[in-house]
Amino acid sequence: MSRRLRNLATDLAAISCLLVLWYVAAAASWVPPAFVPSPVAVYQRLISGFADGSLLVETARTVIAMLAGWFACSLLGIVVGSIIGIWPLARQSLGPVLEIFRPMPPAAVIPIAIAIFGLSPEMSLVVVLFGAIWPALLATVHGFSSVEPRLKEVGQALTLSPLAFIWKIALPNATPDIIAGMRLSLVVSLVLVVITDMITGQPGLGSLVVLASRTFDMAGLFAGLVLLSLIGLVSNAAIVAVERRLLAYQR
Amino acid sequence: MKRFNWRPLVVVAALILAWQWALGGGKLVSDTLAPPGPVAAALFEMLRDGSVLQASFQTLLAALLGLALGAGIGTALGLASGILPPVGTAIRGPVEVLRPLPAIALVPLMTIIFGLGLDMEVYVVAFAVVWPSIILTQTAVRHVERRLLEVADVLELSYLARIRKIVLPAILPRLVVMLRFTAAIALLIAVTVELVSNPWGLGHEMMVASQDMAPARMIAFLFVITAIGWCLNWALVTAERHLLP
Repeated sequence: MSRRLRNLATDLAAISCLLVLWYVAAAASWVPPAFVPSPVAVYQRLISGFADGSLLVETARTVIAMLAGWFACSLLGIVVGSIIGIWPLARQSLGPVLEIFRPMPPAAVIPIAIAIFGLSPEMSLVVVLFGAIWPALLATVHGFSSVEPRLKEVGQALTLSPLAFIWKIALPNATPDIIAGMRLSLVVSLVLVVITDMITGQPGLGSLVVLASRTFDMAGLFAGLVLLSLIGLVSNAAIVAVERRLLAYQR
Repeated sequence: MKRFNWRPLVVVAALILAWQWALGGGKLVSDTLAPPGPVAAALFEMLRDGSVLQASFQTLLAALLGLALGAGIGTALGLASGILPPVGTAIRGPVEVLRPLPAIALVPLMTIIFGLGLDMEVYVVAFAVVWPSIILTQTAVRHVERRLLEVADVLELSYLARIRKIVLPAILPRLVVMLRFTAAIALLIAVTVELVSNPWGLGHEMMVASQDMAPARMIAFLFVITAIGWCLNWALVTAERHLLP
Protein backbone atom coordinates (compact mmCIF):
# COMPACT_ATOMS: atom_id res chain seq x y z
CA MET A 1 0.00 0.00 0.00
CA SER A 2 2.77 2.41 0.88
CA ARG A 3 4.33 1.54 -2.47
CA ARG A 4 1.15 2.50 -4.27
CA LEU A 5 0.96 5.74 -2.31
CA ARG A 6 4.56 6.52 -3.19
CA ASN A 7 3.85 5.83 -6.87
CA LEU A 8 0.86 8.15 -6.72
CA ALA A 9 2.99 10.84 -5.09
CA THR A 10 5.70 10.62 -7.75
CA ASP A 11 3.07 10.64 -10.51
CA LEU A 12 1.46 13.74 -9.05
CA ALA A 13 4.86 15.38 -8.69
CA ALA A 14 5.69 14.62 -12.34
CA ILE A 15 2.33 16.00 -13.49
CA SER A 16 2.86 19.12 -11.37
CA CYS A 17 6.26 19.61 -12.99
CA LEU A 18 4.56 19.39 -16.39
CA LEU A 19 1.98 21.98 -15.30
CA VAL A 20 4.71 24.31 -14.04
CA LEU A 21 6.56 23.88 -17.33
CA TRP A 22 3.35 24.70 -19.19
CA TYR A 23 2.81 27.75 -16.97
CA VAL A 24 6.33 29.04 -17.50
CA ALA A 25 6.18 28.34 -21.24
CA ALA A 26 2.93 30.29 -21.52
CA ALA A 27 4.09 33.12 -19.24
CA ALA A 28 7.40 33.54 -21.05
CA SER A 29 5.67 33.24 -24.45
CA TRP A 30 7.87 30.34 -25.59
CA VAL A 31 4.74 29.14 -27.28
CA PRO A 32 2.55 31.71 -29.05
CA PRO A 33 -0.09 32.78 -26.51
CA ALA A 34 -2.65 32.81 -29.32
CA PHE A 35 -2.32 28.99 -29.51
CA VAL A 36 -1.56 27.87 -25.97
CA PRO A 37 -3.26 29.61 -23.04
CA SER A 38 -1.86 29.74 -19.53
CA PRO A 39 -2.96 26.84 -17.29
CA VAL A 40 -4.33 29.47 -14.91
CA ALA A 41 -6.73 30.72 -17.60
CA VAL A 42 -7.82 27.13 -18.31
CA TYR A 43 -8.35 26.53 -14.60
CA GLN A 44 -10.43 29.70 -14.27
CA ARG A 45 -12.48 28.67 -17.30
CA LEU A 46 -13.14 25.27 -15.75
CA ILE A 47 -14.20 26.83 -12.44
CA SER A 48 -16.51 29.40 -14.02
CA GLY A 49 -17.90 26.79 -16.44
CA PHE A 50 -18.84 24.51 -13.58
CA ALA A 51 -20.13 27.40 -11.47
CA ASP A 52 -22.62 28.50 -14.15
CA GLY A 53 -23.31 24.90 -15.14
CA SER A 54 -22.47 25.23 -18.84
CA LEU A 55 -19.46 22.90 -18.78
CA LEU A 56 -21.28 20.57 -16.41
CA VAL A 57 -24.13 20.10 -18.91
CA GLU A 58 -21.80 19.35 -21.82
CA THR A 59 -19.72 16.97 -19.74
CA ALA A 60 -22.82 15.16 -18.52
CA ARG A 61 -24.09 14.83 -22.10
CA THR A 62 -20.83 13.30 -23.26
CA VAL A 63 -20.56 10.96 -20.27
CA ILE A 64 -24.18 9.79 -20.63
CA ALA A 65 -23.80 9.17 -24.36
CA MET A 66 -20.55 7.30 -23.72
CA LEU A 67 -22.04 5.12 -20.97
CA ALA A 68 -25.24 4.40 -22.92
CA GLY A 69 -23.27 3.32 -26.00
CA TRP A 70 -20.83 1.34 -23.91
CA PHE A 71 -23.58 -0.44 -22.01
CA ALA A 72 -25.44 -1.34 -25.21
CA CYS A 73 -22.37 -2.60 -27.03
CA SER A 74 -21.11 -4.55 -24.03
CA LEU A 75 -24.45 -6.29 -23.67
CA LEU A 76 -24.78 -7.08 -27.35
CA GLY A 77 -21.11 -7.98 -27.67
CA ILE A 78 -21.23 -10.42 -24.76
CA VAL A 79 -24.44 -12.10 -25.92
CA VAL A 80 -23.40 -12.45 -29.57
CA GLY A 81 -19.80 -13.20 -28.63
CA SER A 82 -20.76 -16.00 -26.27
CA ILE A 83 -22.96 -17.60 -28.93
CA ILE A 84 -20.16 -17.43 -31.49
CA GLY A 85 -17.60 -18.59 -28.96
CA ILE A 86 -19.56 -21.62 -27.80
CA TRP A 87 -21.10 -22.82 -31.02
CA PRO A 88 -18.39 -24.17 -33.38
CA LEU A 89 -20.52 -23.81 -36.50
CA ALA A 90 -21.13 -20.12 -35.78
CA ARG A 91 -17.47 -19.64 -35.00
CA GLN A 92 -16.34 -21.18 -38.27
CA SER A 93 -18.84 -19.24 -40.36
CA LEU A 94 -18.83 -15.85 -38.64
CA GLY A 95 -15.29 -15.62 -37.26
CA PRO A 96 -13.58 -14.78 -40.59
CA VAL A 97 -16.43 -12.43 -41.54
CA LEU A 98 -15.90 -10.49 -38.33
CA GLU A 99 -12.20 -10.29 -39.19
CA ILE A 100 -13.17 -8.68 -42.51
CA PHE A 101 -15.20 -5.99 -40.77
CA ARG A 102 -12.70 -5.33 -38.03
CA PRO A 103 -10.33 -2.95 -39.89
CA MET A 104 -13.28 -0.76 -40.87
CA PRO A 105 -12.77 2.61 -39.15
CA PRO A 106 -15.81 3.12 -36.90
CA ALA A 107 -15.93 6.80 -37.79
CA ALA A 108 -16.42 5.85 -41.46
CA VAL A 109 -19.84 4.57 -40.46
CA ILE A 110 -20.88 8.10 -39.48
CA PRO A 111 -21.82 9.32 -43.00
CA ILE A 112 -23.91 6.20 -43.52
CA ALA A 113 -25.52 6.50 -40.10
CA ILE A 114 -26.33 10.14 -40.82
CA ALA A 115 -27.92 9.03 -44.10
CA ILE A 116 -30.13 6.50 -42.35
CA PHE A 117 -30.93 8.12 -39.03
CA GLY A 118 -30.38 11.81 -39.66
CA LEU A 119 -28.73 14.06 -37.07
CA SER A 120 -30.26 12.49 -34.00
CA PRO A 121 -29.09 11.05 -30.69
CA GLU A 122 -30.08 7.60 -32.01
CA MET A 123 -27.58 8.10 -34.82
CA SER A 124 -24.70 8.65 -32.41
CA LEU A 125 -25.84 5.66 -30.35
CA VAL A 126 -25.77 3.47 -33.47
CA VAL A 127 -22.30 4.72 -34.41
CA VAL A 128 -20.97 3.99 -30.92
CA LEU A 129 -22.71 0.63 -30.92
CA PHE A 130 -21.21 -0.38 -34.24
CA GLY A 131 -17.74 0.96 -33.56
CA ALA A 132 -17.21 0.05 -29.93
CA ILE A 133 -18.71 -3.42 -30.04
CA TRP A 134 -15.65 -5.07 -31.62
CA PRO A 135 -13.31 -5.23 -28.62
CA ALA A 136 -16.06 -6.60 -26.35
CA LEU A 137 -17.33 -9.01 -29.00
CA LEU A 138 -13.95 -10.39 -30.06
CA ALA A 139 -12.71 -10.69 -26.49
CA THR A 140 -15.87 -12.58 -25.53
CA VAL A 141 -15.49 -14.94 -28.48
CA HIS A 142 -11.91 -15.57 -27.43
CA GLY A 143 -12.83 -16.07 -23.80
CA PHE A 144 -15.58 -18.53 -24.57
CA SER A 145 -13.72 -20.50 -27.21
CA SER A 146 -10.59 -20.93 -25.09
CA VAL A 147 -12.22 -23.01 -22.37
CA GLU A 148 -9.79 -25.65 -21.20
CA PRO A 149 -10.75 -28.95 -22.93
CA ARG A 150 -10.55 -30.81 -19.65
CA LEU A 151 -13.13 -28.44 -18.17
CA LYS A 152 -15.39 -29.28 -21.12
CA GLU A 153 -14.98 -32.94 -20.27
CA VAL A 154 -15.84 -32.17 -16.67
CA GLY A 155 -19.02 -30.51 -17.93
CA GLN A 156 -19.87 -33.57 -20.01
CA ALA A 157 -19.14 -35.93 -17.15
CA LEU A 158 -21.45 -33.95 -14.92
CA THR A 159 -24.03 -33.90 -17.77
CA LEU A 160 -24.44 -30.18 -17.40
CA SER A 161 -27.09 -28.61 -19.61
CA PRO A 162 -25.69 -26.13 -22.13
CA LEU A 163 -26.97 -23.22 -20.05
CA ALA A 164 -25.45 -24.59 -16.86
CA PHE A 165 -22.19 -25.15 -18.74
CA ILE A 166 -22.18 -21.52 -19.88
CA TRP A 167 -23.05 -20.18 -16.46
CA LYS A 168 -20.81 -22.38 -14.35
CA ILE A 169 -17.78 -23.03 -16.54
CA ALA A 170 -17.56 -20.92 -19.69
CA LEU A 171 -18.57 -17.55 -18.27
CA PRO A 172 -16.17 -17.56 -15.30
CA ASN A 173 -13.47 -18.69 -17.70
CA ALA A 174 -14.24 -15.84 -20.10
CA THR A 175 -14.66 -13.09 -17.50
CA PRO A 176 -11.07 -11.76 -17.59
CA ASP A 177 -11.23 -11.53 -21.40
CA ILE A 178 -14.66 -9.93 -21.35
CA ILE A 179 -13.62 -7.26 -18.86
CA ALA A 180 -10.48 -6.51 -20.85
CA GLY A 181 -12.63 -6.16 -23.97
CA MET A 182 -15.16 -3.97 -22.19
CA ARG A 183 -12.35 -1.74 -20.99
CA LEU A 184 -11.22 -1.18 -24.60
CA SER A 185 -14.84 -0.71 -25.68
CA LEU A 186 -15.20 2.08 -23.13
CA VAL A 187 -12.22 3.92 -24.59
CA VAL A 188 -13.59 3.55 -28.13
CA SER A 189 -17.04 4.69 -26.96
CA LEU A 190 -15.64 7.97 -25.63
CA VAL A 191 -13.68 8.54 -28.84
CA LEU A 192 -16.72 7.87 -31.01
CA VAL A 193 -19.04 10.09 -28.97
CA VAL A 194 -16.53 12.91 -29.38
CA ILE A 195 -16.15 12.29 -33.12
CA THR A 196 -19.90 12.17 -33.80
CA ASP A 197 -20.35 15.37 -31.80
CA MET A 198 -17.60 17.02 -33.82
CA ILE A 199 -18.99 15.95 -37.19
CA THR A 200 -22.67 16.49 -36.52
CA GLY A 201 -22.44 19.44 -34.14
CA GLN A 202 -24.65 17.78 -31.56
CA PRO A 203 -24.14 19.23 -28.09
CA GLY A 204 -21.36 17.67 -26.04
CA LEU A 205 -17.68 18.15 -25.35
CA GLY A 206 -16.72 17.33 -28.96
CA SER A 207 -18.66 20.23 -30.40
CA LEU A 208 -17.64 22.42 -27.45
CA VAL A 209 -14.01 21.97 -28.52
CA VAL A 210 -14.87 22.68 -32.17
CA LEU A 211 -16.89 25.81 -31.30
CA ALA A 212 -14.16 27.08 -28.98
CA SER A 213 -11.60 26.68 -31.77
CA ARG A 214 -13.80 28.57 -34.25
CA THR A 215 -13.99 31.53 -31.87
CA PHE A 216 -10.28 31.25 -30.98
CA ASP A 217 -11.32 30.69 -27.38
CA MET A 218 -8.20 28.74 -26.46
CA ALA A 219 -8.97 28.58 -22.73
CA GLY A 220 -12.33 27.02 -23.57
CA LEU A 221 -10.71 24.59 -26.00
CA PHE A 222 -8.14 23.43 -23.45
CA ALA A 223 -10.84 23.20 -20.78
CA GLY A 224 -12.68 20.77 -23.07
CA LEU A 225 -9.50 18.75 -23.62
CA VAL A 226 -8.84 18.59 -19.87
CA LEU A 227 -12.37 17.36 -19.23
CA LEU A 228 -12.11 14.71 -21.95
CA SER A 229 -8.86 13.44 -20.52
CA LEU A 230 -10.40 13.37 -17.04
CA ILE A 231 -13.42 11.41 -18.28
CA GLY A 232 -11.10 8.83 -19.84
CA LEU A 233 -8.91 8.67 -16.74
CA VAL A 234 -11.77 8.30 -14.26
CA SER A 235 -13.76 5.78 -16.31
CA ASN A 236 -10.67 3.65 -16.84
CA ALA A 237 -9.77 3.79 -13.15
CA ALA A 238 -13.33 2.76 -12.29
CA ILE A 239 -13.27 -0.26 -14.57
CA VAL A 240 -9.81 -1.29 -13.30
CA ALA A 241 -11.19 -1.18 -9.75
CA VAL A 242 -14.16 -3.35 -10.76
CA GLU A 243 -11.80 -5.73 -12.55
CA ARG A 244 -9.67 -6.08 -9.43
CA ARG A 245 -12.66 -6.85 -7.28
CA LEU A 246 -14.28 -9.30 -9.71
CA LEU A 247 -11.08 -11.18 -10.43
CA ALA A 248 -9.80 -11.17 -6.86
CA TYR A 249 -10.36 -14.94 -6.73
CA GLN A 250 -7.74 -15.45 -9.41
CA ARG A 251 -4.90 -14.22 -7.24
CA MET B 1 -3.97 -30.73 -44.90
CA LYS B 2 -6.60 -28.40 -43.54
CA ARG B 3 -9.95 -28.56 -45.23
CA PHE B 4 -11.08 -25.40 -46.94
CA ASN B 5 -13.49 -23.52 -44.72
CA TRP B 6 -16.31 -22.48 -47.08
CA ARG B 7 -18.77 -21.37 -44.43
CA PRO B 8 -17.68 -17.71 -44.23
CA LEU B 9 -18.21 -17.44 -48.00
CA VAL B 10 -21.81 -18.55 -47.52
CA VAL B 11 -22.27 -15.90 -44.85
CA VAL B 12 -20.81 -13.20 -47.10
CA ALA B 13 -23.00 -14.33 -50.02
CA ALA B 14 -26.05 -14.28 -47.76
CA LEU B 15 -25.18 -10.78 -46.57
CA ILE B 16 -24.87 -9.53 -50.16
CA LEU B 17 -28.15 -11.21 -51.11
CA ALA B 18 -29.91 -9.68 -48.12
CA TRP B 19 -28.48 -6.30 -49.06
CA GLN B 20 -29.69 -6.71 -52.66
CA TRP B 21 -33.08 -7.91 -51.45
CA ALA B 22 -33.52 -4.99 -49.05
CA LEU B 23 -32.50 -2.23 -51.45
CA GLY B 24 -32.25 -3.57 -54.98
CA GLY B 25 -35.76 -4.61 -55.91
CA GLY B 26 -37.01 -1.08 -56.21
CA LYS B 27 -39.04 -1.62 -53.04
CA LEU B 28 -37.14 1.11 -51.30
CA VAL B 29 -35.92 3.94 -53.48
CA SER B 30 -33.35 5.77 -51.48
CA ASP B 31 -30.96 8.58 -52.06
CA THR B 32 -29.08 7.67 -48.90
CA LEU B 33 -28.30 3.99 -49.48
CA ALA B 34 -27.42 1.98 -52.56
CA PRO B 35 -27.74 -1.67 -53.55
CA PRO B 36 -24.65 -3.77 -54.36
CA GLY B 37 -24.79 -3.31 -58.16
CA PRO B 38 -24.31 0.47 -58.25
CA VAL B 39 -21.72 0.24 -55.47
CA ALA B 40 -19.67 -2.17 -57.56
CA ALA B 41 -20.08 0.13 -60.57
CA ALA B 42 -18.94 3.12 -58.50
CA LEU B 43 -15.97 1.13 -57.24
CA PHE B 44 -15.00 0.21 -60.80
CA GLU B 45 -15.45 3.78 -61.99
CA MET B 46 -13.20 5.29 -59.34
CA LEU B 47 -10.55 2.66 -59.93
CA ARG B 48 -10.67 3.50 -63.63
CA ASP B 49 -10.39 7.28 -63.28
CA GLY B 50 -7.73 6.92 -60.57
CA SER B 51 -9.45 9.16 -58.03
CA VAL B 52 -9.35 6.40 -55.46
CA LEU B 53 -5.62 5.92 -55.92
CA GLN B 54 -4.87 9.56 -55.26
CA ALA B 55 -7.09 9.63 -52.16
CA SER B 56 -5.57 6.40 -50.86
CA PHE B 57 -2.09 7.76 -51.41
CA GLN B 58 -2.89 10.90 -49.41
CA THR B 59 -4.41 8.94 -46.54
CA LEU B 60 -1.58 6.40 -46.44
CA LEU B 61 1.06 9.12 -46.62
CA ALA B 62 -0.37 10.91 -43.59
CA ALA B 63 -0.90 7.66 -41.70
CA LEU B 64 2.62 6.36 -42.33
CA LEU B 65 4.36 9.67 -41.58
CA GLY B 66 2.36 9.97 -38.36
CA LEU B 67 3.16 6.37 -37.53
CA ALA B 68 6.88 6.93 -38.10
CA LEU B 69 6.89 10.06 -35.94
CA GLY B 70 4.70 8.67 -33.15
CA ALA B 71 6.22 5.20 -33.01
CA GLY B 72 9.73 6.69 -33.23
CA ILE B 73 9.21 9.02 -30.28
CA GLY B 74 7.24 6.37 -28.39
CA THR B 75 9.87 3.67 -28.85
CA ALA B 76 12.65 6.04 -27.82
CA LEU B 77 10.78 7.07 -24.67
CA GLY B 78 9.83 3.47 -23.94
CA LEU B 79 13.44 2.33 -24.32
CA ALA B 80 14.77 5.16 -22.18
CA SER B 81 12.25 4.50 -19.44
CA GLY B 82 12.85 0.76 -19.56
CA ILE B 83 16.60 1.14 -19.21
CA LEU B 84 16.77 4.14 -16.90
CA PRO B 85 14.16 3.58 -14.17
CA PRO B 86 14.07 7.29 -13.12
CA VAL B 87 12.90 8.20 -16.64
CA GLY B 88 10.17 5.62 -16.38
CA THR B 89 9.04 7.03 -13.04
CA ALA B 90 9.10 10.57 -14.38
CA ILE B 91 7.01 9.97 -17.50
CA ARG B 92 4.49 7.56 -15.97
CA GLY B 93 2.22 10.24 -14.49
CA PRO B 94 2.12 12.52 -17.54
CA VAL B 95 1.56 9.52 -19.84
CA GLU B 96 -1.38 8.34 -17.74
CA VAL B 97 -2.94 11.81 -17.86
CA LEU B 98 -2.42 12.50 -21.57
CA ARG B 99 -3.16 9.02 -22.88
CA PRO B 100 -6.94 9.02 -22.29
CA LEU B 101 -7.36 12.18 -24.38
CA PRO B 102 -8.99 11.16 -27.69
CA ALA B 103 -6.51 12.21 -30.39
CA ILE B 104 -9.33 13.39 -32.63
CA ALA B 105 -10.27 16.02 -30.04
CA LEU B 106 -6.93 17.65 -30.89
CA VAL B 107 -8.00 18.30 -34.49
CA PRO B 108 -9.43 21.78 -33.77
CA LEU B 109 -6.31 22.83 -31.85
CA MET B 110 -3.94 21.40 -34.46
CA THR B 111 -5.93 23.10 -37.20
CA ILE B 112 -5.48 26.46 -35.51
CA ILE B 113 -1.75 25.89 -35.12
CA PHE B 114 -0.86 24.18 -38.40
CA GLY B 115 -3.83 24.86 -40.65
CA LEU B 116 -5.55 22.15 -42.64
CA GLY B 117 -3.38 19.76 -44.60
CA LEU B 118 -0.73 17.11 -44.19
CA ASP B 119 1.08 18.53 -41.12
CA MET B 120 -1.96 18.67 -38.93
CA GLU B 121 -3.03 15.15 -39.80
CA VAL B 122 0.46 13.75 -39.22
CA TYR B 123 0.67 15.30 -35.75
CA VAL B 124 -2.74 14.03 -34.72
CA VAL B 125 -1.83 10.51 -35.90
CA ALA B 126 1.49 10.75 -34.08
CA PHE B 127 -0.28 11.79 -30.87
CA ALA B 128 -2.57 8.78 -31.13
CA VAL B 129 0.31 6.40 -31.81
CA VAL B 130 2.85 7.63 -29.29
CA TRP B 131 1.10 6.37 -26.12
CA PRO B 132 0.61 2.74 -27.11
CA SER B 133 4.18 2.78 -28.50
CA ILE B 134 5.60 3.94 -25.17
CA ILE B 135 3.64 1.39 -23.19
CA LEU B 136 4.27 -1.56 -25.50
CA THR B 137 7.99 -0.76 -25.68
CA GLN B 138 8.17 -0.53 -21.89
CA THR B 139 6.48 -3.90 -21.61
CA ALA B 140 8.88 -5.36 -24.16
CA VAL B 141 11.93 -4.05 -22.30
CA ARG B 142 10.53 -5.38 -19.04
CA HIS B 143 10.38 -8.84 -20.59
CA VAL B 144 14.04 -8.87 -21.61
CA GLU B 145 15.79 -11.77 -19.97
CA ARG B 146 17.43 -10.61 -16.70
CA ARG B 147 20.55 -12.62 -17.42
CA LEU B 148 21.12 -10.77 -20.70
CA LEU B 149 21.18 -7.50 -18.78
CA GLU B 150 23.58 -9.03 -16.28
CA VAL B 151 25.83 -9.93 -19.20
CA ALA B 152 25.71 -6.26 -20.19
CA ASP B 153 26.65 -5.31 -16.63
CA VAL B 154 29.56 -7.71 -16.61
CA LEU B 155 30.79 -6.45 -19.96
CA GLU B 156 30.40 -2.89 -18.61
CA LEU B 157 28.60 -1.83 -21.76
CA SER B 158 27.64 1.80 -22.13
CA TYR B 159 23.93 2.60 -22.25
CA LEU B 160 23.98 3.01 -26.02
CA ALA B 161 25.84 -0.25 -26.58
CA ARG B 162 23.51 -1.97 -24.15
CA ILE B 163 20.48 -0.78 -26.15
CA ARG B 164 21.99 -1.61 -29.51
CA LYS B 165 23.58 -4.95 -28.70
CA ILE B 166 21.34 -6.46 -26.03
CA VAL B 167 17.96 -4.79 -25.66
CA LEU B 168 17.00 -4.04 -29.25
CA PRO B 169 17.60 -7.55 -30.60
CA ALA B 170 15.74 -8.99 -27.62
CA ILE B 171 12.65 -6.82 -28.01
CA LEU B 172 12.50 -6.88 -31.82
CA PRO B 173 9.65 -9.43 -32.02
CA ARG B 174 7.50 -7.39 -29.67
CA LEU B 175 8.36 -4.19 -31.55
CA VAL B 176 7.14 -5.72 -34.80
CA VAL B 177 3.87 -6.68 -33.16
CA MET B 178 3.65 -3.16 -31.75
CA LEU B 179 4.13 -1.76 -35.24
CA ARG B 180 1.26 -3.83 -36.57
CA PHE B 181 -0.99 -2.70 -33.75
CA THR B 182 -0.08 0.97 -34.09
CA ALA B 183 -0.30 0.92 -37.90
CA ALA B 184 -3.97 -0.02 -37.60
CA ILE B 185 -4.47 2.90 -35.20
CA ALA B 186 -2.61 5.27 -37.54
CA LEU B 187 -4.79 4.42 -40.54
CA LEU B 188 -7.93 4.68 -38.45
CA ILE B 189 -6.99 8.09 -37.06
CA ALA B 190 -5.91 9.40 -40.47
CA VAL B 191 -9.27 8.47 -42.03
CA THR B 192 -11.12 9.93 -39.06
CA VAL B 193 -9.23 13.24 -39.24
CA GLU B 194 -10.27 13.43 -42.89
CA LEU B 195 -13.86 12.62 -42.04
CA VAL B 196 -13.91 15.31 -39.36
CA SER B 197 -12.29 18.13 -41.29
CA ASN B 198 -9.13 17.63 -43.31
CA PRO B 199 -10.08 18.20 -46.97
CA TRP B 200 -8.17 15.37 -48.62
CA GLY B 201 -7.85 11.60 -48.59
CA LEU B 202 -10.33 8.76 -48.40
CA GLY B 203 -12.24 10.06 -45.38
CA HIS B 204 -12.88 13.38 -47.07
CA GLU B 205 -13.96 11.71 -50.33
CA MET B 206 -16.44 9.69 -48.34
CA MET B 207 -17.83 12.76 -46.62
CA VAL B 208 -18.14 14.56 -49.97
CA ALA B 209 -19.96 11.58 -51.49
CA SER B 210 -22.31 11.58 -48.53
CA GLN B 211 -23.09 15.28 -48.94
CA ASP B 212 -23.48 14.87 -52.73
CA MET B 213 -26.19 12.24 -52.14
CA ALA B 214 -24.01 9.71 -53.95
CA PRO B 215 -24.56 6.69 -51.68
CA ALA B 216 -23.00 4.17 -54.06
CA ARG B 217 -19.77 6.16 -54.10
CA MET B 218 -19.87 6.61 -50.33
CA ILE B 219 -20.24 2.88 -49.66
CA ALA B 220 -17.60 2.09 -52.27
CA PHE B 221 -15.15 4.30 -50.40
CA LEU B 222 -16.03 2.54 -47.16
CA PHE B 223 -15.05 -0.75 -48.83
CA VAL B 224 -11.81 0.76 -50.10
CA ILE B 225 -10.91 2.02 -46.61
CA THR B 226 -11.63 -1.38 -45.09
CA ALA B 227 -9.67 -3.14 -47.82
CA ILE B 228 -6.64 -0.90 -47.23
CA GLY B 229 -6.79 -1.60 -43.50
CA TRP B 230 -6.96 -5.28 -44.28
CA CYS B 231 -4.00 -5.11 -46.73
CA LEU B 232 -1.89 -3.11 -44.28
CA ASN B 233 -2.49 -5.72 -41.61
CA TRP B 234 -1.74 -8.53 -44.04
CA ALA B 235 1.48 -6.86 -45.21
CA LEU B 236 2.70 -6.43 -41.64
CA VAL B 237 1.77 -9.98 -40.67
CA THR B 238 3.71 -11.23 -43.69
CA ALA B 239 6.68 -9.01 -42.83
CA GLU B 240 6.51 -10.34 -39.28
CA ARG B 241 6.70 -13.90 -40.53
CA HIS B 242 9.69 -13.15 -42.73
CA LEU B 243 11.54 -11.16 -40.08
CA LEU B 244 10.86 -13.51 -37.21
CA PRO B 245 11.27 -17.11 -38.21
